[in-house]
Amino acid sequence: MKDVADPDLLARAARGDRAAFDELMRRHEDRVFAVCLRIMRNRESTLDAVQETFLTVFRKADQFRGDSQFSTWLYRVAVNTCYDLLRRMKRRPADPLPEGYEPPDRRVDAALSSVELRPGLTTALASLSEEFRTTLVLADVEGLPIGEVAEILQVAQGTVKSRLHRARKELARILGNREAWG
Amino acid sequence: MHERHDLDLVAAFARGTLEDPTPARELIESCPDCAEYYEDNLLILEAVRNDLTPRLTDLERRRLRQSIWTEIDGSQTGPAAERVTWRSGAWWYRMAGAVAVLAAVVAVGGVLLGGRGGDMALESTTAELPRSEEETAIAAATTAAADEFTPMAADGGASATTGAAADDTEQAGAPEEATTDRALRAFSAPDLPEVVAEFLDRVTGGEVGIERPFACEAEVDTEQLLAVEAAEMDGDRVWFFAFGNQEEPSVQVLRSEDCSVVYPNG
Repeated sequence: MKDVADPDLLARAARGDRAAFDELMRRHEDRVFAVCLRIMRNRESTLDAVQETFLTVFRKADQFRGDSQFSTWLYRVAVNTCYDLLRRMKRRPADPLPEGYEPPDRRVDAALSSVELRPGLTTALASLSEEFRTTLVLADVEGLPIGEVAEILQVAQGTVKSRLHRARKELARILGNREAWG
Repeated sequence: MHERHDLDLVAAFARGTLEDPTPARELIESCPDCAEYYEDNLLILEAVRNDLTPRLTDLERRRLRQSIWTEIDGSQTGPAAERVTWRSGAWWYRMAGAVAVLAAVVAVGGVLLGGRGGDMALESTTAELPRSEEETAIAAATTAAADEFTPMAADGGASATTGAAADDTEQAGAPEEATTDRALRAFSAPDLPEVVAEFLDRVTGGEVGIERPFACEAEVDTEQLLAVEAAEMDGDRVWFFAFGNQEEPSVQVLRSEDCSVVYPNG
């Protein structure tokens, strides 16, 4: 099974071969998880996104025509799934505060900041807009070529380049602050 | 964005992927903006190199696959009575949030007392808590989450939990979902003209706007775009786009998967 190419595994999965789909998940689940976590920024929601991504892949397995690489198609499904979940989370009204709620102690906040809030890559990425963050994650963190990123995001290559340049400037500015703080 | 020079060349030079780096080097030496962009790229590359790639824990991996197969089996044998997610019945993951809070409090306590660093306190706390393989995995996941996603820790658990609940109820068709996620509407293909008409009404009434991100951006005229909305047609995600004049907009509906047009002429 390990020598079988992704599209062949997908075709077998479409015919009900469980082992083939298990192998596909084994090959790609960590990368899908990593990309989704960078986009979603929350582990629990990310696991929902990964589950939904692979369910979509299974259900649409017979629709994969091989026009693009399997990994490109998989990333596209993953990114769209993350976007969907983020949109749903944005729409959801915040839970009301419980009765008797006391605002947090500012001194605790300050201590937390000094200990834990120095921005690493993940924290810095979280400061970018979703579009910039996703573009930068795919291109600079995952190392995908511009053309593939454009295909995944379903935008023109020029759009990817423009977003990438602006995202890099912004991210570098945020990462630069870390050195000032450290 | 610096438009006069080839910033792609500068980025490629920073990554060491150019066969002949001379033009890029000359560009950086002669253009201050390009030199700054080069430094930006180096800073990002260093951050990427130093960052640990997030991975699933073994426990998460097992739960995830189990949930996926349960969901697939359920949908193949008939309509699932209840949506299965990776953490269905997973009391341990909800406990993980409490463990994270406890660890953070101990870390802060250590700092406030001035005796020990937060990291040491955090390590000692998580080291004492696990009693079983499952708990060990929880601690690992929680520590990773606390280390890497601190800014989200305060609200992430709550929002994600409510998110999962919304997902669950949506699939089960619970009426509450209609109020929490009104825009995501499910319908069958024969009802499409009716749904388009309703969408048009709400666009002209100013009830729908443009909320990013959305799929198929390259396929639509974003300059003429008035409104975007997601829905599900026969289980497939589709996007409703309204263009032109708000008094009399035109509508296009695209399938999210491949951006094919399903309306008009779908």
